[in-house]
Amino acid sequence: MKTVRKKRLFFLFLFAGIILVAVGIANGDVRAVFQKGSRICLECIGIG
Amino acid sequence: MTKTRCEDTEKNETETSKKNKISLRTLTQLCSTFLFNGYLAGFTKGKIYRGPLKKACVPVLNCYSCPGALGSCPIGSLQNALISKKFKGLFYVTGILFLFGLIFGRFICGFLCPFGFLQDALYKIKVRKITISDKRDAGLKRIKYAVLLIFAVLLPLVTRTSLTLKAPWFCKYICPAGTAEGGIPLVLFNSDLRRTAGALFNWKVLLLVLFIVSSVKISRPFCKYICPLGALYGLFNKISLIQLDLNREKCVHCSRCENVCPMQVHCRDDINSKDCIRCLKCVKECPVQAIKVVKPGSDKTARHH
Repeated sequence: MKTVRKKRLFFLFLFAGIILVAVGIANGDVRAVFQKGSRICLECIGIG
Repeated sequence: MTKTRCEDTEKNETETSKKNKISLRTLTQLCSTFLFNGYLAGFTKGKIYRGPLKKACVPVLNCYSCPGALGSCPIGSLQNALISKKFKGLFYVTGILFLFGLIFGRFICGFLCPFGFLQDALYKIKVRKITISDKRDAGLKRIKYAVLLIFAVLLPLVTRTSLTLKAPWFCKYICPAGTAEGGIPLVLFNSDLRRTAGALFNWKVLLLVLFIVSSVKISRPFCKYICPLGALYGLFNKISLIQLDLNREKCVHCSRCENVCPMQVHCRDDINSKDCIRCLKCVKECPVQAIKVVKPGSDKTARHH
């Protein structure tokens, strides 16, 4: 892969990542992640 | 003659002490395992940590239902976002996965993942190892992309409206990290959960045993063939901040780099392969220092590829 293309892709994904995280925080996504993570996930441990 | 013998003994001693020394990578793996699972009270109480750190996803495959887990698992969170009513959490988790992949690539697998660490430790057990042919290995390595696409994305997405089928499919039916880190400790320390464990739990324990046994014989089988998180991070390997460079002019074609690679990567064909976990064994092993860690997009990475 050419260096210029690599750099472009890097910044594209960096920009996309930051935007997605920002939109997610504004959207209340952190709360959803916390709600799931703070309870025992029965499916994950093979019980549910 | 005596001098040569002395030199040989000295050389052997240095090599043995080198082997006995804990490498920086092992130390990092050990620290990250304790860091991501630092809630030790959880193991004695049979409960999980419920504090604010769970708002953040850790970069590794570390079950959030592990009694010690301080953060949330990104693959578990992704599936739960996909099965939730309004895709709650999807933007945040996808963004975090992009950023982790972009910054570290599969360096996370090589240096930070507790389940990778477990596999590395198991492979150190001295038994006869299984060699998988390159052709078969290449085919098997594609499975992880199918696991990512089918079990971690499509099935949770398609079954999200069904009451009986709605589930984080990868976590529920495959993830051995969840069984090792979450299932077994919780079932051991929590009597209520122990009573409810049934066929699904037995299936997951069976899978875990299978992975443990195969990890003794094959280097990192879960990372190579199954892990959806590794598959995702691997896609960023060519553009991530940590890049390797092979100087073809210096290379003496000794194949030491390929022989030492735990992921069976053909270093000379593609030094920044999607499967490279950046363990840097090839860098250490190269007798002529032809492989180096370089900055992304530097002239060196462009020169040789």
